[in-house]
Amino acid sequence: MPRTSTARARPRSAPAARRRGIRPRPASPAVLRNSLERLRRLSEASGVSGDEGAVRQIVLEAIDGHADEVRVDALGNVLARARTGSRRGVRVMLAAHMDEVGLMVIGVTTEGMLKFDRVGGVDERTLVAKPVLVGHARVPGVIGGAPPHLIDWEDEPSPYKIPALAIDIGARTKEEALERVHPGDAAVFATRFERLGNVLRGKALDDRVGVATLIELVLDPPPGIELLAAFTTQEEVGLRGAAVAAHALDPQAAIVLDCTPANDLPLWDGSENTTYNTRLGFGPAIYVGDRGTLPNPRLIEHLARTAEAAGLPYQYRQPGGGSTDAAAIHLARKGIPSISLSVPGRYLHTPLSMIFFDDWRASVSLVRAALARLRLDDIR
Amino acid sequence: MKALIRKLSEAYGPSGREDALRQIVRAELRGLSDYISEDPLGNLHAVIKQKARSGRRIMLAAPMDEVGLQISHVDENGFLRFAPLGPLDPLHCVGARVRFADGRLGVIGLEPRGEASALPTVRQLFVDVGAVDRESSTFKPGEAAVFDRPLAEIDGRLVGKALGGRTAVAVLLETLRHLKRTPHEVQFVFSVQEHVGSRGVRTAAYALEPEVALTLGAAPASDIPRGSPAAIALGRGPVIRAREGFAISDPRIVEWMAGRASEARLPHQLGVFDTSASNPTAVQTSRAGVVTAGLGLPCRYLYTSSEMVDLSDAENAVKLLLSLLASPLPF
Amino acid sequence: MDRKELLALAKDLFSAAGISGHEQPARDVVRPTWEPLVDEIEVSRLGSLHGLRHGRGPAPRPRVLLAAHMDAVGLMVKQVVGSFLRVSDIGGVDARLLPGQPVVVHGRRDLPAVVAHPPLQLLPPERPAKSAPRTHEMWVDMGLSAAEVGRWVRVGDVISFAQPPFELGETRITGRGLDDRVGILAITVCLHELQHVAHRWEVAAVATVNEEMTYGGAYTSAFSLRPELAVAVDATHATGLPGLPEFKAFPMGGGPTIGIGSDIHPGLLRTFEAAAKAAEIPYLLEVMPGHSGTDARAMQVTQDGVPTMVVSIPVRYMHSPVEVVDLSDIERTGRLMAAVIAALDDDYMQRLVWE
Repeated sequence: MPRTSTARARPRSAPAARRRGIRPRPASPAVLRNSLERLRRLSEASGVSGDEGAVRQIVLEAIDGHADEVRVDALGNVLARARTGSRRGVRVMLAAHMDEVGLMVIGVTTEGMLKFDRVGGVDERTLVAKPVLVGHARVPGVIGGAPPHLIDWEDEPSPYKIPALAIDIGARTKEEALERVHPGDAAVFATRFERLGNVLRGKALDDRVGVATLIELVLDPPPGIELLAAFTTQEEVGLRGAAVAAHALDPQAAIVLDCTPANDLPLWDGSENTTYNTRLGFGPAIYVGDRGTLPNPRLIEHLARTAEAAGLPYQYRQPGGGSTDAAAIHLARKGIPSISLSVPGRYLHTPLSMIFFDDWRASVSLVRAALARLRLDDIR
Repeated sequence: MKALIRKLSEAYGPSGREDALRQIVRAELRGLSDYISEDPLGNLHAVIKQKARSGRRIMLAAPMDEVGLQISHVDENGFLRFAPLGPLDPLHCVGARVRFADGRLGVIGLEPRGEASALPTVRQLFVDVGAVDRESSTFKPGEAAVFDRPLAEIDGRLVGKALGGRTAVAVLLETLRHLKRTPHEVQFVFSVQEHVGSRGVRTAAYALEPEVALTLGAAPASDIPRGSPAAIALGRGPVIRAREGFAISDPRIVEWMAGRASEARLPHQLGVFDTSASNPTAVQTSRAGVVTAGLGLPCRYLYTSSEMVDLSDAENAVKLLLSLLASPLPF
Repeated sequence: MDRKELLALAKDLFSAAGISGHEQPARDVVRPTWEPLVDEIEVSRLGSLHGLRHGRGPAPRPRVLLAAHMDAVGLMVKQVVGSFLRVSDIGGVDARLLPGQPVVVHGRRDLPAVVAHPPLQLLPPERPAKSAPRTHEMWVDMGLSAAEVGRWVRVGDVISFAQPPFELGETRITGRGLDDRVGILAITVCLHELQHVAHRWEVAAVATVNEEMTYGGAYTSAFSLRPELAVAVDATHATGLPGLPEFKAFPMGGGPTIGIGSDIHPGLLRTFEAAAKAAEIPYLLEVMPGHSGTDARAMQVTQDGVPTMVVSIPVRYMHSPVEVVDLSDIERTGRLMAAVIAALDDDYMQRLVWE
């Protein structure tokens, strides 16, 4: 059983790990550079649920020639079997979702403004006064708000809701707007990816960081297992891609690589924050239960043991709400022992999410080490 | 310094009636400056003339006046209705003892109210001066009163009325007393009518034409239960204000003050006061402009009859000012 | 000044921070732009930039002051709480547009950050769930440790929106600080036009400071420059967003607005209208019943009093990081002012009388 304390997070000392001789090899500088560059491209790509094409292209390009088998299925999932040299190991599915929450144009006003609705759970509070990119042509636009000079501050203004907002692409008329965009076009925040020391900032790090990790694993798979990668679609609108991917791959176990909220902000009165979900800087977050999945206890134990043995930091994601592709995967066919491992991220589903580089790298190392040690006995 | 603060705090001086303060300050100023003058509004200017070419004209200002009330009506039973003079909070009035210019006393009462939990308003308050009817009353509309409260020392800290502002006055006097060498023309301004809109310093700045100004006054401290301990605290040194009301302090002056305080190992705090009753805008925008920043003395329970300050903050403010004035400006 | 040059300068200007009271980054862009266009240049004690163009008339020449403010709205660090910052707004920023907003904290070094509005469970339970976010509830997050934040950031540091400018459609541009860098641009266009005009009057181009807080730059620069006439060039509200009050917003691309109201001398208004008609520059009248909310209000009451005018450029989503302007409106505003200046003769002040 997992320990109940979610606070434990400090890595064991490196010498202890070295003694056991299982400290994972760190990625080379060249691999890291490539991975970061790939994460930047993934983060900046437009891939709203149901329209993941640009992300799919990056994934296909990256793994082209590096997998035994690659296909795009009926829902747009990219399914790949990594080269492992052996087919005797455990058949493990690794899933990361390619899609992101975003917006979709529903119509154009006579003044050339784009009315929109949201796709998935975009944080409605964060829409106003942000730049966006509309459609495959990535037409720049902004979502404007009223100038404070013209607001009646006597009555407390109500929060901005989507029906009151519009995307302004600088069109002077409806016709001019329709030359560049169409109803049904998806829109994403126009946020540039940045690395600032340990801080990685960008849009859609949920779950492009998982996609980046999974690409790394396909390019350089851990030995001894059969790695089935699923880059899934439509996670944010109901875990749809994962459900059919799990059915098709029929794995013996599944690990979902996702990005989960870190609500580790101070409280207004300085008292202890006990509902942080996860915290940045405490390592990858092992799931012990969310709204959709009670992870396989042996897998929980396996991940935690691996982290401790390898001297990697980890934390338990606080049980409660939220869910991942695991919710769909673990119920596929006869049932699949599943677990999720997430990189903690602040401000997911907003224009700018923030993760720690070290948390991400620790998650890559942890998955790699956990897969290398995984035996069928560990999950039975 | 404590005796001086006591004398200043206990003196009577609502906005516009600063005569008693002016007398005390004048007496203290004797022989300390190159000249003293009183301007038409009643500000006192004590000026040290410029001693070196590297010097500039620097104004230091502290308010002499305090919050009070002004009689608006004497009712048929001799109770006094009043208007606030400055930022007087009705919440802090109930039960307070007040004193008029000639020493007559009164106590502030509150009408019985339907909803006792609601905050009192000024219209529900009155001053009870023990009178029985209007005819025998000696009070007239326009007379002003202030809180009547002797200075007390509580566990090393000072408590009294008008204490924040008057401590600033004492800081200026002490600074002047110990100012041995400075290249600058230093203009010490003891201003009037600060609490009704910084009116005194406006005209003083116009008259003296400083290039740089530091406005001194009380800075509300927030180190109280359910306050905000990380913000302004008593005993952690004077407050360099990066913003006071609408006035954004010149970043060069903030850098200069904070840098000098750090070099001299003087405790100090940086503060941003976006809602502030005091406002150095009048000085900053005087004539062709004055490079201005505020220096605050941390003060709890501001504008009540029991303002609390820490003497060490005042002492450190004096040291900081002396250190700032000792050499040419870096900008 | 062609469209390309204007666009390049606009991007430079909108990229400069320059929060009220901390305008240096903006001044550093304006100064080299104006230097070749004027005969003298100086910085006022409060930091306003004065560019003086001598005229052809006999000295002492009358002087017209063109003022646009270079300060922009933003935030200021109010408190440092571990890794996070509490802030207050400078110049009027609607708290509703802060959540998720990328910003730069201008500490001992510039630090990229983001404004976060906590999830409901991290806010006081007594707070109504449906009320709009408030500035005092926000945290500014740099992703740094408390020790690093302590080293780089202190109370009083200013914070600017991090939004870089970009073009929107064919003639428009969006970014932060357009209020009132568009005015600076219009004055720059005007100064370029004046290179080819034998104007009689002296022209004082002034980039003012502190407009959003105290009008401090306008008060003090008008005091020291003692102009005969003063024109505030500012941003006004543009139509486009539903629900704005009627007659308080003006179409984009339709030229500048010319103010009418207590801040504006009626004789000067007639001069501007006549010049606009003669030069075939479209404009709209903007009624300013009380306080125009511009530097004109301050300049009008300095020294012995100054006849003032307000010319405005429609800007959408003012005081946000995605303000939008149509470049043609900036060009027309600059040309209009140049046309007015060209028409000012030696006796103009004698003719500028109250009816």
